[in-house]
Amino acid sequence: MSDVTRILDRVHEGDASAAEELLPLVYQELRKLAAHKMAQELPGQTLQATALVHEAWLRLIGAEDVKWNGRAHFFGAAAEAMRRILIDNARRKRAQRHGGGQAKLDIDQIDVASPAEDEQLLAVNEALEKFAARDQQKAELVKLRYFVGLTIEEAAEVLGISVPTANRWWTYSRAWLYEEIEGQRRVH
Amino acid sequence: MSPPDQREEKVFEAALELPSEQRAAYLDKACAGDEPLRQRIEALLRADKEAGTLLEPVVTGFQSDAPVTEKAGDKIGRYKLLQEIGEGGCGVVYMAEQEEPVRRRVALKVIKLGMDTKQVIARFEAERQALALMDHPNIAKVFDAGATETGRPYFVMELVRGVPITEYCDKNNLSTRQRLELFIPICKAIQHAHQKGVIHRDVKPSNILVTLHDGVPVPKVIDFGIAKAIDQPLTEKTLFTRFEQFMGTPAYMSPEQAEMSGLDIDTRTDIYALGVLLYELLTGKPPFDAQTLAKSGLDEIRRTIREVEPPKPSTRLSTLTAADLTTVAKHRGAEAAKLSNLMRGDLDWIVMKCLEKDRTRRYDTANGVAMDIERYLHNEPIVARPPSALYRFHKMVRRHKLAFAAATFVAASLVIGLTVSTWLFFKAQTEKKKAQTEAAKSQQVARFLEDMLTGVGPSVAVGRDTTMLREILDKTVERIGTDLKDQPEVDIELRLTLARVYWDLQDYRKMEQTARETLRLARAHFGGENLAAADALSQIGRALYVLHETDEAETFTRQAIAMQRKLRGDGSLQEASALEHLGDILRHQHNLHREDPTKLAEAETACRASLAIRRKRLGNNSDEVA
Repeated sequence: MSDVTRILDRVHEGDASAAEELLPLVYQELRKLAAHKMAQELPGQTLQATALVHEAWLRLIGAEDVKWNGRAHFFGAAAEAMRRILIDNARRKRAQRHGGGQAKLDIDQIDVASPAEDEQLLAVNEALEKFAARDQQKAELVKLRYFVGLTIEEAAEVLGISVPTANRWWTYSRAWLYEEIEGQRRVH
Repeated sequence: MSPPDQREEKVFEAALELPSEQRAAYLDKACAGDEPLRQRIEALLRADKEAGTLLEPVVTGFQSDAPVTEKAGDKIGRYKLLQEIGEGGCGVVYMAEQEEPVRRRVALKVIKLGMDTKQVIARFEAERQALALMDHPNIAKVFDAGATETGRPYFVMELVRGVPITEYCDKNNLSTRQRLELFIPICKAIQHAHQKGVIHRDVKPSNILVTLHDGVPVPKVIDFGIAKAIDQPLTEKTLFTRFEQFMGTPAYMSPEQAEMSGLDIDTRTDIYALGVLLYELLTGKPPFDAQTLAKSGLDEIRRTIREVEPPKPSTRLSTLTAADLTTVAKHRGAEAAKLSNLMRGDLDWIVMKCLEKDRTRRYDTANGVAMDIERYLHNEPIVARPPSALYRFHKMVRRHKLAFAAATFVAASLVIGLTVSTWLFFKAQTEKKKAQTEAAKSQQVARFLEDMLTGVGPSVAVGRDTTMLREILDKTVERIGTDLKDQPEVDIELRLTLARVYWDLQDYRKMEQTARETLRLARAHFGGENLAAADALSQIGRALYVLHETDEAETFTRQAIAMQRKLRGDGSLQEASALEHLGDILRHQHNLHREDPTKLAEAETACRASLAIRRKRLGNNSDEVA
C-alpha cells in the first residue's frame, strides 16, 4: 500500500492530522511530475494541470483500493498543491521582471504560459484567499476548477454536492471573485 | 459564514434567475431599506456578466521551455552529425563523423533529460580508464564524452550497424539452439567488462545489437559506462529522471535496482538482466510484461520486480494462447507443441537462477551462465538446480514480509501465534462454545509453527541451506524474552521447541544455552521441580554430551531422570529416553576413562532399565524397543 493510500485510509477513519500529511506528499509529486514533463515536452507545448493531477493520482495510488471519499481528499490536496506551485512560480517570475534578474529560475523550469496570465493568477489567488475566509467550501470548488481544471461535474463529485448546487456556487463565486479583483484594480 | 453573506448570496441567485428586466423590481423589494446590499448585488450581477471569460478559461497549464534538440548537419565538439539513427529512453543517437585525430564514423548519443551535465561527465571520466581497458570483440567501444552547447551530456561510441538481438533472432527464425549460441558471447562480453571493473547496468535487447561479419552474426553490447554516468544519486529531483529511464525498460530492471537506493548495484545486476534477456529470447517475452509494468504505478512496479515470482519459461510458453505460441514457435523454427517441453528442466533452471530475487542465489559470474548453457548444449549436467522445498518456503515468507526483515517477521508471527493461541485457549475455557472455532483456528496456527520447526530435521539431513532458518530461530529467541514477558508458560514451551530445532540443526551450543534459559525460567515460574524443567535438563544433557562435556552431561541427565521419576512416577517413556541417553554417556565415559568397568556396568544397567520401560509401555514389537 502506498503512503498516500495509507494516509487516505487514516483520513477516512477520522484521523484529522492525517489530512495535513497529505499535502506535502502530493505537492512534491506534482512538482516532480511537472518538472519532469517539462524536460520531455517540446517547446511551446502546454501541460494540462488536470492531466498532471490525474497522473499524480495514478502514481501515488495506482490501482489500490481507496475508501470512497479518498478521492475528494486527494484532489483537495492536489488543488492546494497546484495552487502553491503556480503562485510560487508566478511570484518568482514577477520578482525577476522587477529587477531581481540575477535570481536563477532554478526550480525545474515550471512556467506558466505568459506574464499576463501570471498577473491574473496572482490576482485571483489574492481574491480567493479572502473568499476562502468567508466561504471555505465554495473556495474549494474554485480551487478544483481553477487550479486543477476539473469540470463542474467532476468537482461536484469530489466535493460530494449535486451538480446544480455546484453550478450555483460557481456562478456566485465567480461573480464575487471578479468583483473583488475589479474592486482592487479600481483602488490601485 | 456570516448572515449578511447568506442573504447576499440568496438575493443574488434569485435575481439571476429572473429575466434582466424584472431584476430591478425584485431588488427594490428584496433590498428594501438596505442600499449597500442592493449596490453589492448589482455589482455582483455586473460581475457575473463580465466575468464569464475572465475567470473560467484560465485552467492553467505549464509550458515547456526546453531547448531545441540538435539536428543533422550540426557540429557537436569535433563531431559532425550525419543523421539520426535512433531514439532511446534517455537520448537520441546520431551517426556522426569524426575528423581528428582519425577520420571515422561514430555513434553519438545526446542525453535528453535535464541532468547535471558536469556530474554526468565527471562520472564518465571516473570510469573512462576502466572503459578504455575493455577490449572485446562483442563490446562496442566508448570513445568520448562531453557537453553540447545547450549543456547536455553526450557520449561517442563505436558505430554498430545492427539490429537489437531479439529482432534479429525473430527475423531470421533462429532456433532455440542458435539463440543460445548467440547468447553465450554476450555473457562472455559482460564477463570481460566485469573483470575490468565495469558494470553495464542497462543490459536489454536495444543495447545488444547483432551485426553480420562475413555472414556470421556477431552480437555487440553497446552503451557500456553510460548507465552509470547518467545514474544520479537518489534525491527528490532525480527520482524522476530515474523513474523515466526506468519506464523505458522496467522489464529489465533487477530487484536491487528497483529498490532505487542506488548504492548497491554490482555485477549480479547484469546477471539478472542477462536472465531477462535469455527469457525473452526463449519465450518471446520478458518475464514481466513491459506494458503492464509501464501502466502500473511506481510502487506497483517496484513491488512486482522485487517480490513477484515470474513463471518459468516453460510455464510461460504453455500458458500462451495457441496463436501466440504458433508465432513464437515459428520464429524458432520449432513445433509449437514441443517448445515448452524443450524449455522444461535445464533451461528453466538456468533462466530462473539468473532471475533470483536474492542475488546471492544467482550465478556468481556471467561466465557461469555461459558455462551452464554450454553444458546444456553438450547434454552435460548443469549447475543450476530447482529450488528446494525449504527454499520455496523461505521465499513464501519473503513474499509476505512488509516492512520487516523476513526473519523478524517470522519470529514475530511465531511468538504472536503462540500467544494468541494460549490466550484463546483460556478464553475457550471461560466462553467455551463461543470461542471453540477460534481456538481451533489458533491450534492450527500453533500446529503450523510446530510443523514448520520440526520440518527442519529432514532438510538438514539432505544438506540443504539453513542459513535463513538459523537467522529466524536466533531472532525468535531474541524476541521471546521481551514479547512473552507476561506469558511464561508459552515462553517456556516455545524455548523447548527451539532447543529441539537447534538439535536438528546441529547447533549444540545454542541448544545448550536455550535449554539452560528454559530451565531457569521453569524453576522460577513453576517452582523447583516440574516437567518443563525435567525436559530442559534432558536437553542440556544431550547438548553437553555431543559437545564432549560428558561429566556435566551425566550430572544433568541424572537430574532429569530423577525429576521424571518423581513427577511421573517410575517407568515413564520420558524416563526411558533419558536412561537410554545416560547409557550413551556412560559408554562414552567408559571409552574415555580407559575402560572404566564401573561406567560400563552402569551403562548396561541404564540401557536395560530403559528397555524394560519401553517393553512394558509399548509392547515387544514396537520400533522404539528395537
